[in-house]
Amino acid sequence: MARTFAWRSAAAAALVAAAIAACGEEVTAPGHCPELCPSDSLQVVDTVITGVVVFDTTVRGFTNLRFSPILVVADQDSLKARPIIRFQPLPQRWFPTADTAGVPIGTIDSIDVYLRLDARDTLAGNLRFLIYRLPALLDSTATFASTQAYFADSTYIDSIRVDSTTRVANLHLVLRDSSLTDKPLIAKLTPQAADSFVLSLGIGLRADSHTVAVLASGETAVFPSLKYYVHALADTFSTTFTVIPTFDTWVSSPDVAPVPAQTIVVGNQPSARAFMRFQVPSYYVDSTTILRATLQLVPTRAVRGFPNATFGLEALPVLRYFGGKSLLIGDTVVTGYGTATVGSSDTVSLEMGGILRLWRGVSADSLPRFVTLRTANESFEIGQIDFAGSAAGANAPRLLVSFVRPFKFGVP
Amino acid sequence: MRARVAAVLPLLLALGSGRAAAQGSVFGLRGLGWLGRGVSARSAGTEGALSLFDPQMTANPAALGHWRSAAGWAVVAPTRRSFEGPSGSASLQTSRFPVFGFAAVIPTRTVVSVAISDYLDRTWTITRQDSTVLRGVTEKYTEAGRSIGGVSDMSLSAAYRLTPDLMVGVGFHHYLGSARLAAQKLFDNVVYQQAAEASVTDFSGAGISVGVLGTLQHLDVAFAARLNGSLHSTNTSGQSATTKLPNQLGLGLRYLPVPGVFLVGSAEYAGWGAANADLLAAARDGARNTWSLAAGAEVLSVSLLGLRTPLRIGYRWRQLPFLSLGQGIDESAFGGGFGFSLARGRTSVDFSFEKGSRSTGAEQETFSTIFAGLTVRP
Repeated sequence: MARTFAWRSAAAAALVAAAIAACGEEVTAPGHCPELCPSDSLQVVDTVITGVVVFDTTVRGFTNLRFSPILVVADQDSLKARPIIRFQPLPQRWFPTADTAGVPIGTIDSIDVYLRLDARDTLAGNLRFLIYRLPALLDSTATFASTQAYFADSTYIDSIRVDSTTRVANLHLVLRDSSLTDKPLIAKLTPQAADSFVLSLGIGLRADSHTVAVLASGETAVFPSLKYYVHALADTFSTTFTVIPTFDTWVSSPDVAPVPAQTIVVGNQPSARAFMRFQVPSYYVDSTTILRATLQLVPTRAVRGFPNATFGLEALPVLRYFGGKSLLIGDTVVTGYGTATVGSSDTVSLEMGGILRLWRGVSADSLPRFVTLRTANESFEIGQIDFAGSAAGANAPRLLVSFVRPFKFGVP
Repeated sequence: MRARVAAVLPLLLALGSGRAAAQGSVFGLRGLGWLGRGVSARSAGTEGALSLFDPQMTANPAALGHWRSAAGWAVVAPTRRSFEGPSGSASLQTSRFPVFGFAAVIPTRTVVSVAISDYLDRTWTITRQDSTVLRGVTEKYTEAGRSIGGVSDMSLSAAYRLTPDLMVGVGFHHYLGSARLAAQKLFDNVVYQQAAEASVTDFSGAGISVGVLGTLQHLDVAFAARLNGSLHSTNTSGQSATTKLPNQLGLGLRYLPVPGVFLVGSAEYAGWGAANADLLAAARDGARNTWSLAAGAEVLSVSLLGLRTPLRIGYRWRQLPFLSLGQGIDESAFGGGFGFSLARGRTSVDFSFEKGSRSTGAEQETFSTIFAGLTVRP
């Protein structure tokens, strides 16, 4: 009897287990139209909406050259730029081990001038960075014109040559006291007591053709520096002093032009941003599913900037509009992206579908339909692009929208 | 006999664990859906040939007269399907609960029952790859359509035994259910956001059925008819529709050639053509009148491990009502099963397995299903 019961239990358990094991859900089949195709499907429609930007304004000054991570050097016809760098005072005494009185600097054995090259145009061969000694106490009031006189033969120290294929490099100018040619240069690079032992340098460039290059500033981890190898008067002790910038910027000519009328301007340094107010028919925003929305902007002149380069553009929705001090929504999901090519006058496209989807179901009173346009790497970007503004008629910004109409699920 | 049953058991188990299958089909995207089979595990063993004699099913309310005490029953039916078509192949599986219900005996000679069974299955998912030209560029995309749900038949039925050999019955049917629909389009080009829409369609309808079941010496005869109204559909997108449901007739015969062995056959007709006009008006594929034929055998004189273990076998063929591009879809299957009677007849467990196919044009779907049913008579 017990054996029979065990058999029954085992059989029932096995059958139940088999039934449970067979359960599952996988209902996806490959469709084949028209035989196995739902009678309705999502239809994608393309349309162009003109006159979507009803207001625009450009504000410049979102970056400060004083705190810029780059130093621009250029000798182009359209842009001449020269970095000026003021270094820390050179210490005059150091304290070797067990010497509490300290040891004053006697002689400078050698100096290493360090610059970081971040970008250059390799089409311009035989690039050299020219190093000038400037008055020690230059400050942010310096302009291209006011410093022009200091970039002269009398203040010229030496140059650093850059290999023609090198785009990014650590540049060093090493001067040794043992070299007869270097000895006077070391004297030029030695800060004087009259200047409170502060040294300022200016950087120019020269190449086979007019060009532009970018150096890292004191705001970065690869800041310019001067490394002094010094000996005590008695030549018993030696040490190394490294001084770094306390102030750096660059001066340029011509000055950044004012924003032309009816123009949307983005980029350059100090950087400019455009603020645009959109008026998109609510049908597209609230009733459709927007798959893609592309803002097309027509340049009014060729894009300026680093030769043979492209730079990114970003469109960010505005949370609260206060002109240049507007609050922006920085979520990358809703950030629109586009690129501009230096030298090109082609229409620029920015994908901003995420912004239109953000506006869905939200009134313009709650979330203003403003968008700000800026360069993607605003602090590093010297490119500028001018677009036709909202009042430019046929060249005004327009929106290409790919959308799905509200889907009518069929019944029965 | 025991040895034979012992040999069959592992075979069925192996089939069951390797391939399950039952209701639901990709063809359910046509018309009102895939026509469900509210079949018990016992009747499934004969491929539905026993339907009009089975008190667990709603096909013939007169069959409720077989109950001599209160009873409750439920069936689970996992199904595996293999779909093949010009656009590719896929292995699919679903699990359904074709029927469950309970019955009570009201003295004297009257039985009432409430049961819920599958009527129309609208669970399917279709994906396909295609391309379209957007902004002058050919963009590839994957499109998916999905429907989850269906229409159930909730019936309140009663049967009365006029004589020990003659039973009559009547049933009221409420068709209700819903389907969640979703459509999605996903482009290969990530610049395009995916589009997704969803909605819910609710269904309701009603019908009434009558049946009679009589015994003539070695032959049982069952007849049932059902008059249906219309199925009302309302979608959350605001659309609504009315579709005429079919009137149905069924005839079943059960012959006892030798004691303990039944040969059964049934034929059912459904006038789904009545829905044709409504479906065409809704820009759907039309519908046709359909026949369902089934034949099988049930052997009751078998026991295993001291338990009464009926064995069943059957074959069925049926027409599905909803057309695909004007073409009909036919379905056929064969199967078999067995049952255990436990607790001195107060509990029975039935298992069936079927394997079949349905096709239209170049698309074909083969399926295999396990039916597992539990009946309790406290």
